Amino acid sequence: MKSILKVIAISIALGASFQTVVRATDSGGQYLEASMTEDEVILIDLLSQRLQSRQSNGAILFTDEDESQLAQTLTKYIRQTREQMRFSNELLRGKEVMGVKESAEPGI
Amino acid sequence: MVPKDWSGRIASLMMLLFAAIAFQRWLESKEMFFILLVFRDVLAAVYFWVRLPAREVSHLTLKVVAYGSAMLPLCYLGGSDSSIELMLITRGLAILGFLISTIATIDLGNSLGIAPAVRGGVCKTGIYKYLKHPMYTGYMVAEIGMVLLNPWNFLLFALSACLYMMRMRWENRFLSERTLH
Repeated sequence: MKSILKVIAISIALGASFQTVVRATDSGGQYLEASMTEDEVILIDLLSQRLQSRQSNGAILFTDEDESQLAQTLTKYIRQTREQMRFSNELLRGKEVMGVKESAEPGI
Repeated sequence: MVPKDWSGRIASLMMLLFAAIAFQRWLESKEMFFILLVFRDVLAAVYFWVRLPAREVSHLTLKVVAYGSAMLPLCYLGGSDSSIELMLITRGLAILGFLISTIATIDLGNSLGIAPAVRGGVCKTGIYKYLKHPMYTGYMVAEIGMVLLNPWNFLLFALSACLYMMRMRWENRFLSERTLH
């Protein structure tokens, strides 16, 4: 009887471990989403809505290959947008610095 | 005919109440710690129901401390799994800890008690061959995970660890005085 109960306890522990690993694997997507900015989430939602409406009209049906390509394009787009934003911020900061210089040294 | 152990019946009902509270905590927090606690408490409740009557029981103070200590794990605060690594570590500790405690519960069988008492001989089989106090060890392992999940739990863990230490010392003394060790 004790052996049977121990086997059940070990099975529950193994089941719980398996469930944890599965959840950890699934969580990858959620953590990626959490690392996105608000604008990026809105953009992806918008794109997703548009694509879904087209799909429901029978206009587009995605294959796995299409999805993977779309994911790559989106990632690239997000990265580029971030780069552009960083560049714009640096430009703005640069102008401010120049403005201070100009006012500090009038006549040059 | 074996006389009925009414204190065992009361302890069994208490454990079922603990299991119900743990289940409620699991519904709120979805922490694996609490659902594993439910399994362990239900198993303990079954053993308490059928346990052997004690030939000698410990002092009331010891019983109160023991019940308080058994109730503390229900009070741990949940937390958010901020990373996959943290989730794996906390859940891993909960699984390992409760596995140790559950196996210890099974090994004790119908000699199980919250407070020390003389029921048959001292258990030295199964996991008790390798660990002197596997039940408390298991609980502490699982509770470390809860501290990692939410640092505020450290206060509760410190109190819980102190109570486990006290219980271990009292149990050792209680059993050695009765020359059972």
